Amino acid sequence: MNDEPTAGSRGEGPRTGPEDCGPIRDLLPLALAGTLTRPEEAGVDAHLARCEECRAEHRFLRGLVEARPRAPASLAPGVTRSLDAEIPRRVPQGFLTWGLSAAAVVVLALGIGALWDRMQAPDPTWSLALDAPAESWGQEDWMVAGGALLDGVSEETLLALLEEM
Amino acid sequence: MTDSKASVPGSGVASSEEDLLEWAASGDRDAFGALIRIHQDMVYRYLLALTKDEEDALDLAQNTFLKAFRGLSRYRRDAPFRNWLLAIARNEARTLFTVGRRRMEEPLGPGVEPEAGDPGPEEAAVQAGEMARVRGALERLPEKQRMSVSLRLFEGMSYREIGEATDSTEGSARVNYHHGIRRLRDELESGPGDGPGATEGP
Repeated sequence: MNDEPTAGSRGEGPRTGPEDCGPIRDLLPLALAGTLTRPEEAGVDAHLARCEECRAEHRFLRGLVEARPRAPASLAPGVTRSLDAEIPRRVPQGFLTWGLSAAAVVVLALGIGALWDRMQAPDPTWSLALDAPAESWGQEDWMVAGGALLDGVSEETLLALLEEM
Repeated sequence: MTDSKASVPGSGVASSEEDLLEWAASGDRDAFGALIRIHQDMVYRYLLALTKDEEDALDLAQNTFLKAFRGLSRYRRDAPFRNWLLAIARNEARTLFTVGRRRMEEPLGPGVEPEAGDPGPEEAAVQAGEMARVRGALERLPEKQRMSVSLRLFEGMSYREIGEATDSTEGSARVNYHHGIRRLRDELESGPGDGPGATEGP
């Protein structure tokens, strides 16, 4: 069964003869709601201009629509209050962005400062070498790695190695 | 029919319902507030037709919108948003009927919210009286007829949509609407004075 009594698709207007009071009255609520297509609206208007009974029906329905209940003014604020109590609103976006940006600048500045200080300080391993006590020179601990392998190598071979280096 | 466009407070920009839904789904409460203003009358009237109690209808309507906000990420765009809201409202009403009413039903009174543009207290009283008559007559309709009349006449819904909203069929929605309108006319036009809107004489 078609939902709406139009001839075919919703785009076509209804017929407007006296035998069509039924389909016209079926459309009157949609006419009052303003949801008819232009052809439908034209068809309804044309029929109402010729049919007193349907005009009376239209008046009756319009009276009902005008007397329809409305939502109390407290409905929307009540919902908003409940939402605010349940989920606190976020910090305004602009302030939050500013705060995050400021924090990022501070962290970056501290990081750069720490890095700069480290670059200025001498390598602690160099300090240890320069500050090595004089008596350590005579001990085997200071010998370079691989130094013992040179023992027993002829002077001629050592010179050849130096030339390669 | 309510306009689906609304301005989001603070932005000064008129938006379509699609935009409002997208912003609300990301947590924008101002956008959701605009959606409430668009649909609150429909949801409230639907629940009032179901419960016949103004306080229950208000509580259920608020719960409906709260659940809608929490579940916006689950709303599929393949059906109108208002249909989705009505489905939530229907579930809320079922919860009320399952748990049981908190208090005895009270007849609808003339407690009418003043509307912007009311010209004066005398005319407002006349309007309030007429509204009370209509609402009382609606309340006395059987539930299926009351729902069909409310959704067809006040919300401009198709019979198919009414069937979905009332767990019935398209054909039943049509029959219930016409029967309901006939009963309303019989009651309102047979009482003292003429029916609603019958200000024009023959």
